[in-house]
Amino acid sequence: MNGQRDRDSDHALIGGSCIFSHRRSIVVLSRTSRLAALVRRATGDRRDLRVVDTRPATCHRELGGAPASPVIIDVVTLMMDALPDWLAAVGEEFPATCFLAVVSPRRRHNVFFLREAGVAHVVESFRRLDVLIRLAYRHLERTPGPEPALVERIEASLPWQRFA
Amino acid sequence: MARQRITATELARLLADTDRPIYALDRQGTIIYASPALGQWLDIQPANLVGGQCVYRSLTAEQVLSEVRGEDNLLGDDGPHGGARPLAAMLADLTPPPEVFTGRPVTADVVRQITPTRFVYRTATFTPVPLREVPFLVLAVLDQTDHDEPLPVRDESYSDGPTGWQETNEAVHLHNLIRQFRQTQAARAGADWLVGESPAMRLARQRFSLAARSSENVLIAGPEGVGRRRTAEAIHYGRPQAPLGALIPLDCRLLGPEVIPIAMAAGKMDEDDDGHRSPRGQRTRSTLLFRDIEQLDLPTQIRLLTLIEEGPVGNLRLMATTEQPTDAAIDSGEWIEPLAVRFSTLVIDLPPLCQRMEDLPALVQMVIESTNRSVPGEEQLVGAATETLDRLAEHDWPGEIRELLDVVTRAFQQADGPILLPEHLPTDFLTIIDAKLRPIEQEESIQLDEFLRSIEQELVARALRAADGNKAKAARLLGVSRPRLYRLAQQHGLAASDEEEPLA
Repeated sequence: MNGQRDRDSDHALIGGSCIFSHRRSIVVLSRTSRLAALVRRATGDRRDLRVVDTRPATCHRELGGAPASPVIIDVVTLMMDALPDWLAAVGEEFPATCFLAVVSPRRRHNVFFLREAGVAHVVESFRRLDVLIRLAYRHLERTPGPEPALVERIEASLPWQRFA
Repeated sequence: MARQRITATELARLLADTDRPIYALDRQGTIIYASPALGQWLDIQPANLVGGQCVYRSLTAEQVLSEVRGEDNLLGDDGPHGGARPLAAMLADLTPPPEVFTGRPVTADVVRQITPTRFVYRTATFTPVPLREVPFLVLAVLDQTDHDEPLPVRDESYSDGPTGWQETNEAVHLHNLIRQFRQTQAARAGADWLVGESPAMRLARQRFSLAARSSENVLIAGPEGVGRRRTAEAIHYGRPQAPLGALIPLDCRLLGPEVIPIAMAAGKMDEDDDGHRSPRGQRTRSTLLFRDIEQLDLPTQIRLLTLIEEGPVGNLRLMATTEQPTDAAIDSGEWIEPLAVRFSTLVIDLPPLCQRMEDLPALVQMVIESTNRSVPGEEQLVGAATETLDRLAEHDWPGEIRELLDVVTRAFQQADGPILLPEHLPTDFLTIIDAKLRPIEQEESIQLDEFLRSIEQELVARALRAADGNKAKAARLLGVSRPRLYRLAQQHGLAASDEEEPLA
C-alpha cells in the first residue's frame, strides 16, 4: 500500500501536469475489454477513479497494489468452473475487496450460485451496469483509503476544483 | 413396486450381456434395474443400487463429511480407498437431468467419484420410454470409456449445437459444480477459531453447537475480523440433519435496500427447489445470511420484517451478523426490535480478541496446526516459543482473528526450525509493537522548488480553464498582470504566445 502511495507521489513530482494523480481503482475482470470500456464510460465523471482492465492473472497483481478495490467480473460460461476457487482464494487474500458480476440473461440460473460463492451482487445485463457502479462507489466510500499525502492535502485546498 | 421389479427382470435378460453400463429408473427417479457392467464401473453390487432413489443434492452434510474423512462405510462392504462411498452419494452422481422426466431424450454426463477430490465422467444417453406395465421408464446407457473432464460446456458466443442439448448439459454441469463447491465448504466447515477457555468462548461454543444441530435463526455478534462469517458458514454447511442448500450472504452495508429483491428471489428459489427436490420429504433448506444487518436503514428493515412475516422468506433459515450487541443496537435506534427478535432465536457473541488474551496461545497453536495441514510434507512447526507469545500479546489486535491469522501465517513462512521464534514475526508487525513503546513521528519530505512549480502550473491551468481561454479574465482570477500570465503559461508549456489558443 505504501509502495503504491510512494509510486503515485513520485509520479506526481516527476510528471508535471500529473501532479495530483492519486486515484482509486475499480478493477474489471473479463475476457475482452468490452466491460472495461462500459465501466469507463459510466464512471467518466469521476476523475479520481481509475478503471483497470485485467485478466485473472493481472487482476491479482492489481489488487496487490490496491487491495480495497471493487472487482467487477464479466462471467462467461467458460469461467464458471474456476471461478468459485478463484473467488475464495482472492477473497481470503484481499478481504477488503468486494466482487460484483454481470452474467448474460441466459445464465441467470448461475446467479445464486455466484452469490453463494462470494459475489456480493449480480446483474443479468450490461444495461444494469449502473447498479454495479453505484455499489462500487459505495464500497469505495466505506473503505478508508490511504492517508492523503501532503500533495493531496494541498491539492484539496486549491481553488477552482471543478476545473482541475 | 413388485410389478416394476418384474419388468426390470425382463429388461435385465435383454441387457445383461452388454459391456456398456446400463440402468433404468422409474418416474420418481428410483433405480429399478442396474446392469452388471454398471456395478463393475461403480465397484458395487448392482442389487444394492436397485430401489435407491436418485435425487439431486441428496447428500447430507454428515454424509459429505464422512465421505471426505473416509470414516463410514454405509454400504457395509469395502470400496476403493478402504471405504465405500455412501450409497446416497453414488445415487446423486447417477441422477439424470430433470428434463428427461418431461419426456425429452437427453445426453449428459454421470459422475463417479474416485477420491474426495477426483471425479471421472461417462457420457450417458437418457431415453424416456413409455411402457404399458410401467407408467414411465428412463433408460440410461453409458459409454464404455471414462473421461476426466465433464462434457464441454460451450460459451454462448460459440454456440452451434442444439439448444436443448446445450442447456441440459449446462444445467448438469452447474449442478456438479454446486455439489463440489458445497462438499468443499462442508469439508472446511469447522469451528477451530472458537478455541479458547475464556468463559465467553465456552458460551460461544455451546451456542454454536446448538445452532449447528438446529434450524433456528441465528445472530452472530462481534467486531469485524472475529470470524462471524466463517461461523455462519460452519453452522450452515456443517448441519448434519438436512441436505445442503444454498448459503446466500447479503452484505447489508453494501447492498442497502437491494437486499429486499434479492431476499424475495431467494425465497422464490427455495420454494421452487422444494418442489423439485423433496420427493422423499427431504427438504433442501437454504439460508439467508444478512451481514452487518444493523446497517440497513429503517424503511428497509420494516420491509424486510414484512417479507419475513408474510412472504416466502419466512421459510428460509435466517442468520445475521452484527457488530453491536442486540440490546445496544435497539437502544441506539439502529435496529427495530421486532426484526431483532426474529433473528435472535440463538445469539452467538464473539468477543474481541483483546478481551480474551488468555486464549491467544491456543489460537496461535490452532493457526500453526492449520498451516501445517495446508503444507503437508514440508517442514512442520510444533508450536510457538513463550517469547513469541509474549510479543504477540503486546499487540491490541484491532484486526482480530483475521490479523492474527495473517501475522502467524507470515511468521510460519519465515520459520527455519520446529519452533516459532520472535525473530520470525513479520518486521512490520514488530515495528508496530515497538512504535507503541517509542512513538516516532514520520515526516514527509518534498522538493520545494519542484513542488511550488507544480502548484503554480496547476493553478495557471485551472485559471485558464475557468476563464474559458480568456487570458485577461484568467489573469484577473490569478491576480497577476496579463504579461505575467503569458510568461507563466509559456514557462509551463500551457500557451506559447498571445496568438495561440491556450492548451489548457
